[in-house]
Amino acid sequence: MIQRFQAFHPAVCFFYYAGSVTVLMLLQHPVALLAALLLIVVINAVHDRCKGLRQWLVMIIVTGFFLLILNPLFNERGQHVLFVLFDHRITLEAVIKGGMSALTIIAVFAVFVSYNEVMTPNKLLYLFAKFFPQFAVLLMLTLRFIPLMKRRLADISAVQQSKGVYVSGGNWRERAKNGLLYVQVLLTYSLEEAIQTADSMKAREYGSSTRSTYEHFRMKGIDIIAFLLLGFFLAVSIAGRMQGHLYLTVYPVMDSLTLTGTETVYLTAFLIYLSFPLLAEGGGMIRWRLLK
Amino acid sequence: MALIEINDVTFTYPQSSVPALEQLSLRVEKGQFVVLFGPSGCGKSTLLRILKNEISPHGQLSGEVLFNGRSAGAATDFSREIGFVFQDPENQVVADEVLHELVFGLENIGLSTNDMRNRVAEIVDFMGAEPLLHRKTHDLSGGQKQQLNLASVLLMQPGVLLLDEPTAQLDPVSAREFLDMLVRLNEEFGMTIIMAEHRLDEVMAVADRVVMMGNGRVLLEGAPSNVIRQMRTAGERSYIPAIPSFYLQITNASQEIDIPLTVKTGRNWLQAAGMTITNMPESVAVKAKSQAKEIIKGKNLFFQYDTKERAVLKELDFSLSQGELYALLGGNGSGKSTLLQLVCGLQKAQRGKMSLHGKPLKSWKRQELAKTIGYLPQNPKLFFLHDTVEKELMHAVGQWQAIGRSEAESLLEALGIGDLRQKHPYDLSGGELQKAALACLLARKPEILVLDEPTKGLDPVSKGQLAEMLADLQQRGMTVMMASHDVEFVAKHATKCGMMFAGKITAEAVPAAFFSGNFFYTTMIQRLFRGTADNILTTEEAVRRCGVISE
Amino acid sequence: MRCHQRMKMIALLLMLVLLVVLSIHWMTHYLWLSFGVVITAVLVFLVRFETKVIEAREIVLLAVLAAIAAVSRIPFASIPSVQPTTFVIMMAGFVFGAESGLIVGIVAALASNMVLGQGPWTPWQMLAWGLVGLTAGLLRKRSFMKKTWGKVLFALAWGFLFGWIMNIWGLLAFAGADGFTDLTIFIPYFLGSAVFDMMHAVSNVFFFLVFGGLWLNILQRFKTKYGLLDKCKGDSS
Repeated sequence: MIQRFQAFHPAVCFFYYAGSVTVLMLLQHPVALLAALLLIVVINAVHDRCKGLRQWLVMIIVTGFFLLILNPLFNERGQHVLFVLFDHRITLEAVIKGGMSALTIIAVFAVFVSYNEVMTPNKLLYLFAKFFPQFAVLLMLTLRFIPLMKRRLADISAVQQSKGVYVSGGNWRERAKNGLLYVQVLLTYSLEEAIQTADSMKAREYGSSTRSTYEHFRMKGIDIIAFLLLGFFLAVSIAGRMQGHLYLTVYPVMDSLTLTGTETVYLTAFLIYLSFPLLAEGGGMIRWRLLK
Repeated sequence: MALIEINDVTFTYPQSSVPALEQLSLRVEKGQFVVLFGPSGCGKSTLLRILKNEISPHGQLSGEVLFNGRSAGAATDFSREIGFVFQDPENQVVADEVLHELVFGLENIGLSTNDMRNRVAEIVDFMGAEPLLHRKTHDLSGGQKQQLNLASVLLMQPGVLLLDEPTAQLDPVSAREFLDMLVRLNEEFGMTIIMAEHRLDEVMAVADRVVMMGNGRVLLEGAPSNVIRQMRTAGERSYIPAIPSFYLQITNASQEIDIPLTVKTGRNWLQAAGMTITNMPESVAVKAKSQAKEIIKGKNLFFQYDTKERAVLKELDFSLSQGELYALLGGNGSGKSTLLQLVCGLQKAQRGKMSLHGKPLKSWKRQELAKTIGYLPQNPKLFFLHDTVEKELMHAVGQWQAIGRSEAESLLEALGIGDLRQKHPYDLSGGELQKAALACLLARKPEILVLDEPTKGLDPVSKGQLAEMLADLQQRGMTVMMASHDVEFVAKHATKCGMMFAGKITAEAVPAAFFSGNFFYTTMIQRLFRGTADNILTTEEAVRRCGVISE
Repeated sequence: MRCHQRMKMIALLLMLVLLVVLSIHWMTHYLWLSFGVVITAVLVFLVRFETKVIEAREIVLLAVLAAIAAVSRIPFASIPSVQPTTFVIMMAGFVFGAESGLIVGIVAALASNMVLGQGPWTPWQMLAWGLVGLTAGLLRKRSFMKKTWGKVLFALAWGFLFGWIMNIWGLLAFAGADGFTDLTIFIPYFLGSAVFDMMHAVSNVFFFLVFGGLWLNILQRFKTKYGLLDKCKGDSS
């Protein structure tokens, strides 16, 4: 569990994920990417024993594999020929390039898995409400309507089946037509009913004056500290990348895979940034122990 | 000075030639509990909406509406003093989480978070709703949703509460709870309440004043007892609740004592009058029916929607015989609707056998099954694919080839909706909509009709018409199965009742036997006679067996 | 309030400038840049949306359309890559205009991903469906869109365009930091998605031909019913 991290203000969590994805997309070094990916997997493991990650596993592997092999198959550039396949040179450079694309995407996916666990719809909605209050109302209504529409569709499907209108069996045309007929009933019915929703909003003074927002989350001192820390390490990571570090030159001549001393420093900064949820949890545990 | 004064108000909707309200006058004093009733389309909703500025309908309005003696236009700030609760629990909910829903109105008036917290804390405490605070609104029951709607209106701290048939879509238990809450608000906080309502059994006992409306006018108004007496003279009997109706039929209306409205006052009166009850032999008709052949048989049925969720039906045995009118009763979530869908072949039991005419349901062709069993869902609107009643009906005629066009025409006439054929189904009232859907079902000439909550939201007049239709169909050999919360309706019209609990049918009997064993789940009249003659269920039977008192 | 919105707009423009500066620094970081541009574009539109006063009925109408677009794929679960989401958003654009179409597309994508789980595809879906609604609204008054062939072409085109937009981020990820080394690499990618895009396009056209007219009528009827035609009547009561 990474409860401590989840308890931070949503803005902190959002900032953390946005920063992670940004840097992951910027990094172009197999060692750095691999280290980052491992760390993200550890975070997922600590959070829910990789339950979430496993659900996406097939998609992640397929995408990763696709990216890994496609580049060498189409790209013959490079000096180190690994082997020749049907007159086609498979070069180390191409494999490494493909591998880096694959690692980037896999890492980004894994970050999103964690994001989906931590950033509940409520938190995102709250962030939207702070900056886009009107849009937040629209989004809230939509989120409220989605399960309602699902239930209505199930009801519609039952009634229409009892009338002999099916979406299973029959030819493609028939099924697609009946499927959209269901949606059409849903549309007409829901638009009719939604007038009452609008009335109930108006009866509760919607649009009568400037809306305020209920602060479901409060920015506390620790959130500000977290912001400063995260901001610092993110800035260091990006600054390092801007100076050309953590970037493996592949063409025309490939650099050595080992990291230079400066690169190690910058990588450490990013890894500290990435491990923030773990550090928060660990720090909390230690404090709790000491207090006891 | 009255709190609300409506003087000579006439209101006409833009596309209509007939006014929805006609020279209507009404005064409501502060702290009163007023109940409006009357058939669908009598103008109750329009009247309520005219009182709330934000949602008042567009159209032509004449006459004046005064709040505290000031005209409605000048008293716009008064509109904030008025809370409005609508009929459908589902449609009023705007947020996906309970807390978000509660603060929605408060955000709209720009309160600070601290103020919102205080108000929410208060109301949550008052309603005992703390465990619900972080639930998804979608997962609440209809009753809980309506309580939530009431709570989010109360948070705005209104002085007047307007409610448009707030319990019409609720089951009796939730309706009762909702009503209790209103009584508390009225008694403990002096809140003025104006409510439109069909179910008068309970509200008659708590209202200060009742107003009967018809065709946009006030027909009768006054204290409940007086209005009931006047209704009898005016011949509007279908609205009189069971106990007062029994009382009026059995005594001379001229008597000056208060009409009993509750079981308690009714029993006192029975005792004082020294009522004698004649015994009756068991009904012969019931015995004859039980010999009829079984059409549908289910054995050991097990059903769940999701392997992770609890079973909705388990080890359920059930049978339906030719010509029966079988009513399934039971609480919310007891699996009534699911069983109906299983009977229609719309859901398949994971375990157990279900057969129709001795042949397993699974091996029936879908089209044949649909032709044999007609299904009317809780919400008949979802039935219609076409934009007029006639098109829908003619499509059914073409699809099933069971009856001809002229027969279909006469079906519409027989159901009394011949003049509605060109209307959009959504523009019909609840009762009309149901008739239209029934017409389309009957065009298939089905053997069995399966109805889910057919009396939900119907006014007493439409309910009476539904009962007549069902009786007529039954006469002609139709087998009917329905799920219902409406104890009074079932007691009067069903031939067999089944009680569902925890996924099983726990009790099954003819109405008289079924209800005489129940304590809570039974009719007003049965409660009145419990201990003296347990098997009297309906007003008609009570009158038959008691004889008229003429003191 | 106004000033507030202006501040946000300025902040977003600054963000855009920053993006450009940074991308000059990293010439070939298309992936990063493209995400930045897409997200900023969506945010710019949202700021614009905030400046409009939207009535209860309108906002509910938009939410209903977005929710329906999001769930409309359910009855089609058994037919691969046929879903009427694009069709629903298109219809919204046709009847309620470019801005409504855009917002319905954006919200439908965002909300359904909030339910199903976000991924790097979220901004791209918002963009693609947003553009479906936007273009439907922009082109609705054009003479060729009044004709059946115009609409069919439009529906067909969006089947493919949608797929291509969704392909972009995958391609950019693929290109990595050095940009596109070899354009032939696109061929298998686009061929792979062409089958699905074709299905999407064909089903769009099918829905359009069978249901287009009916849906336009239904939505038009509600447009009147919701009082969205005569805007100035609001203060008549």
